[in-house]
Amino acid sequence: MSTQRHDWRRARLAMFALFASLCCCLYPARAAADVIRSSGSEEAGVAPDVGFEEECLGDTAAEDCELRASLMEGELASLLAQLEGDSDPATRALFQGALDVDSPLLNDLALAYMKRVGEPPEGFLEKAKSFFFGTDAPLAVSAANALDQAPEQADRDLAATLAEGRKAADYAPTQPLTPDENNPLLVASIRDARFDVMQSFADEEVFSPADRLLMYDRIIRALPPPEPDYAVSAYMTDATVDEVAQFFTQLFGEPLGTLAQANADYEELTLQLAPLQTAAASGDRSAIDQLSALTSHLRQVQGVLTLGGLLQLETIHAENDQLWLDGTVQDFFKSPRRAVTVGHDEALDKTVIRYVNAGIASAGKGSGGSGSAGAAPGPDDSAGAGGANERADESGGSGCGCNVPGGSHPSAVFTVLALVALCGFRARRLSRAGAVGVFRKKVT
Amino acid sequence: MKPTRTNRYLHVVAGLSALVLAPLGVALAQPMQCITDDTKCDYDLLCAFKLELAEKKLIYETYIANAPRSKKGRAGKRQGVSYNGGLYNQALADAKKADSTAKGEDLAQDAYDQFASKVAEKVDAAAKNAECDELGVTPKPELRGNWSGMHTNRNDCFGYVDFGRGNGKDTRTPDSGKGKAKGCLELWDSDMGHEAVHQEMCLQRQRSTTKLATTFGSLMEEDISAYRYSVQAAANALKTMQLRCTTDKNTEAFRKRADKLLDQIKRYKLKGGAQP
Repeated sequence: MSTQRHDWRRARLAMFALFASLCCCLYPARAAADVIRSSGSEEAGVAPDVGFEEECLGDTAAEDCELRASLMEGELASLLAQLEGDSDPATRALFQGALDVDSPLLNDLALAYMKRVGEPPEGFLEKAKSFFFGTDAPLAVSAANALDQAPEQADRDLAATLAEGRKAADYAPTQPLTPDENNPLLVASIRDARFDVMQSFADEEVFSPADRLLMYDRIIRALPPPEPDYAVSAYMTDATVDEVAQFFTQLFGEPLGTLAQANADYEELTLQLAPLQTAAASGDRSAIDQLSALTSHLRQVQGVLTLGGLLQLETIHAENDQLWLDGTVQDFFKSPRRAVTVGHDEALDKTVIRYVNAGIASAGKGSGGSGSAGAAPGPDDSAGAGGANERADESGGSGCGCNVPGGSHPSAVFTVLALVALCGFRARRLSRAGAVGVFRKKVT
Repeated sequence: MKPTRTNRYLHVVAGLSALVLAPLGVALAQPMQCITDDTKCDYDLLCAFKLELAEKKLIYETYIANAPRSKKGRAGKRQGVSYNGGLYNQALADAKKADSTAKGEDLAQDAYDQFASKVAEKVDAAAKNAECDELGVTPKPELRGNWSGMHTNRNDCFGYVDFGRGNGKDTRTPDSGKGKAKGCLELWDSDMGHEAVHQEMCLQRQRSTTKLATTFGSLMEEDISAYRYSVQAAANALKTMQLRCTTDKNTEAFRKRADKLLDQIKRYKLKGGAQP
């Protein structure tokens, strides 16, 4: 008996060793992402602007001009920060000038200053709007802050829409964080990284030409962690809905339709259902056939409604948009899938594309960082930044952590989730007086 | 040697001293919070945060200028930076030269490593321009930190701290590294935050049901997001420090210097940067 146990232990050890070596073989040893720091210099430096005029602003440029310009911009940002409290006309002119430089960092400082000192210069709102529709999230939230007080309701609406997905306070400077405090900037930056990197879509799967549209970026979460959440990255284009639809139909097949249409279909089908049920109960053969076809159609519509509810299409302003799914609706309930919505946006008069990156379960690593270091998102945040301290060993570059990818989502959870979403969605719909009419109007 | 009363006494004193001094040593070695509620206007700190911002901005812009996705930017620009894939192409060529058999993800990783080394060289070269003349102080490297960088292992998704470069590089876990690190805690935290972005993206990649091939470009995009955090964190730290210097008498001098820099930067950007 003891020999058998001994053999079993040895077998287990051998299996573990085999598994470990497989892990190490499967992953290359060298694979890292870096943050770089200068090695520092004990000598007094030379101001980057010394000789800049001659060496960098002429027809030919010295090799280190880019580097010096970057350092100068850093210093200028520092100086502007120092002058922020000053309302002298000369200082105002300086900040006004900083609005026109192609630099998100300087623009951000200038926007904040202009908003604070009041009486913004001519063209200020137009400038703010151009930043709003840019690609830099911290600058866009500052611009939204400026638009929030614009005289036009449409501009204030833009600011409100962006605020649904991003808060200005997350990016703004704060007091020093205490060791237990979450770092809101880090949480926001991780979210932005998910929007920008779009891990579910290769470059060739992204419609071009199109510009990023930060105001519709959203994290969708149907259930609390560890259930998956979905990063929705938005783009806008001058191409028509049909042109964009053609691109995604080639990629994913025919669209599933719009949520609004599915809603209208559902209402109509349920209305047809009752008389057919009565006729079928009395043995009417044709009614039975019609009922069977109707039920099948109803099931499809229910699928789209459930999916639309889970993806919160109404909340993300995409209820009238065409929906494509990578796979079938049933596939989605088994494991998270990527999706795309395309529709015309009345406010922007552009075609808006939303890339729904496949849902990913929360990292579940808890708060990272040592002490106050890299304070990571808390349980309520969309992204649980990994705890840098939680590790198996102190190995250097060769990683054999063998993290087992999570995110396998039992279909039972999804079925329950689907039912809850559908019920919730239906209840919400029914509670609205004349809701059907409203949706029909939107569709037509 | 037989223990005498004296050397036994010495042993006890040494032991007690070690007990008392060890935590003190650890405390001194760890990065210290430089901006606290009691911190007053301090030009050395202001200088350190200014240089941190300039350095992070330089790295961020170098990544943006070289990322293939930047080609699609409006008017050939992304975040105010003109596309210039020179360093990218050079890194790719060097990676191919170093290992002609490498393909796909291996080649992407090799090229990325080459690119990161080139950026590190660039950052080191920038150190010669590190000055704070406008503040009347000389930069104090000890405030900026003694770690040479941090990295996240793409296989185990854990972050590590590096000290030194090349063969003598000492890589540690953050816990262990923090014991050896010196400098401002704000800068340590900022770098840890940068790695937290990589860690999260790493975990997401491992858990994603859509498995996309890692490309040189996608590695750069992830770093662009992480460095955007670094730039914002540095700018925020600088502003927080600056709030303590609002009653400064040098406003006129600062404004004059800012005017000069703004004029030169504007003209440089209008010219299209370093583009020929």
